[in-house]
Amino acid sequence: MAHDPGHGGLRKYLIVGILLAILTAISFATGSSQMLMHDAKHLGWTIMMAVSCCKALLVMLFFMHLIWEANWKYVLTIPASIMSMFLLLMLVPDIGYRYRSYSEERLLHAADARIRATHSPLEETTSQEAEPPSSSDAEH
Amino acid sequence: MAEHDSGHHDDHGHGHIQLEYQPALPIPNGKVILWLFLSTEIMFFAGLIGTFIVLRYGAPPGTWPAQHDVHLKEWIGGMNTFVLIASSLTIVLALEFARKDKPAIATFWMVATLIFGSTFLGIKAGEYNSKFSHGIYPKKPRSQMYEKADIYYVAAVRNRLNSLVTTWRTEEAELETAKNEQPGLTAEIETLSQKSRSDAEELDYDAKRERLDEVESTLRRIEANDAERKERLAVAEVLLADFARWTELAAAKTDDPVKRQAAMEVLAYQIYPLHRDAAAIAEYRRWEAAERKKEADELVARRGVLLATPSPQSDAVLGLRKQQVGDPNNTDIQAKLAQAEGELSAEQRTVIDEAAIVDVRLDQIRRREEALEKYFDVQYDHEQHTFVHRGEDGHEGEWHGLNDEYHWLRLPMKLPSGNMWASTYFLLTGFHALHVVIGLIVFVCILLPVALGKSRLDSTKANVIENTGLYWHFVDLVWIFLFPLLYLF
Repeated sequence: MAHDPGHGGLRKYLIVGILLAILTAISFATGSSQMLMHDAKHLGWTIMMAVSCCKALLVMLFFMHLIWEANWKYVLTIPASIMSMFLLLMLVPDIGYRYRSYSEERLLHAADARIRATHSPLEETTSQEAEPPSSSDAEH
Repeated sequence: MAEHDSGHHDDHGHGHIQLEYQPALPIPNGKVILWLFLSTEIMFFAGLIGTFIVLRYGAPPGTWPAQHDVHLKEWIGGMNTFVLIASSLTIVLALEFARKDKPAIATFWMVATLIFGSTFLGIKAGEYNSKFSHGIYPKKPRSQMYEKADIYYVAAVRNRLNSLVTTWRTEEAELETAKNEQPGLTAEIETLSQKSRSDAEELDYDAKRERLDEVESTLRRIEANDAERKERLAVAEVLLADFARWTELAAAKTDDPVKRQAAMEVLAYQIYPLHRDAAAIAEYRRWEAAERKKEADELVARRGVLLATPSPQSDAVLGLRKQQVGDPNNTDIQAKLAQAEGELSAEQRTVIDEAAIVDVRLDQIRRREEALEKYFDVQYDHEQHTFVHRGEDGHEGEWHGLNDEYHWLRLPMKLPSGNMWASTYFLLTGFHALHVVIGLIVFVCILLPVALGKSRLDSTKANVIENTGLYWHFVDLVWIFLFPLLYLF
């Protein structure tokens, strides 16, 4: 069957491809930026997630042809999106709390973020200036 | 035959159930199935990604490894993203041209998609290799990552060094035996080959010839990497005695728990440095140097007190004892020592015993200082909060640890939350790569008949290409989310 020239078209696909490349570059630049990833962590993450969602939408709508499909596309996409959203939302209460329920024994063997002490309480240190652990490489 | 109306069949008089047929689906069955499959895939990957998020942010706070700690290069991930986006574009173009009945161009774009997909896998293989070569595996026992620098970690380091040293020393012993055997065997074979042999001598001759072959192949094998082995053995022996065993001893001798931990952390840092620990390690180095000096001074003073009244016999015995420590299996030294000790009185002997212990410890301290100078020749850079090479032997810039200097060492490393990182990374990228492989297999199945001249990618094949394209776009979609999550967050 002949394809209706009303949809698609090489130009559209090429433009979408270029847009995807540009968005990838934006995401990469955000991820490599000192300022965004260390000082404004959450802003950086939000930007990268937003860029990823835009890229995903572009691929789904144009490359996967959904923008030109009939209403059955909603039957497919809406329940799947709801289920994925539910899955992530149901995990939200667990995010960041795992460490809180570690048992004593597990805590003994768990990793430490940094070396805990540079002064021994049992002895006076001989050095005059003690280097404080730097705060800039705190949690990622 | 009765008339059909809107799908009702007349009862032919056989008692058939009347079936009601309803309007068909608006898209081909293949497309429906594929979309249903993709919605299950969405749930599959959503589950995996959700798990990753929970595990990553549930790790002990601040421990999750930074990209350079685990040799993750963002630009390689970025390049892979571009490759996959390009492959998505090319498969859509293939579909377009197939629909327009231009099979040659459609085939070209399909082949391009296959090439891009294979490039993605090739880059991924390179990435996995860089992890494996640094001892980062998803599972123990291959994974060399330890969560903390505790006594189990130090023991693991010692075991690894021990196994290296033992292997090479065994090889050297084999080489010695082979070297010793070879001339004798050659001579015997020579004599046997000159004369006519009886049956028994014939057997003997064959056995000797076989043995000579073994000996010579051993010689060839071991002598080939003789220089390299000697070099590495020297390094491993020093690291075993003056890094690993020193640390174990230091950790065991002190009562101060902070100093105990400090000794082990220094060893971990020397093997595989983590930026965040540099400042504390600089402090620990100062402690160690001060303590070493204090101990050495006390020991020298003690030695002076013990040997206040000089006597040639004591000196002789002490000298021989020192030699014996360096070469424990030498029977010559043992004999001389036994004789010299026989000439001592009882009080002299107790004094000598204590002085010998002092000597051994002084020797250990000296060796430690020499080893640090040779293998940890660094200074702390206060601006960069890191250690830099100090020596002039071609090494400059940041200190990357013993594992980096000597790739063959493969010592266990302290990498907090490293095992969790490796598990999640390899799981997510592994499942994704599996999906890519399946996609590539489907491409080959489509292209093989074309290559064999049995079919063409014209409009009759548009449905197959469309469905394959939908699957491939989904694979791209997953990577679009995986890339920032794994590489950039």
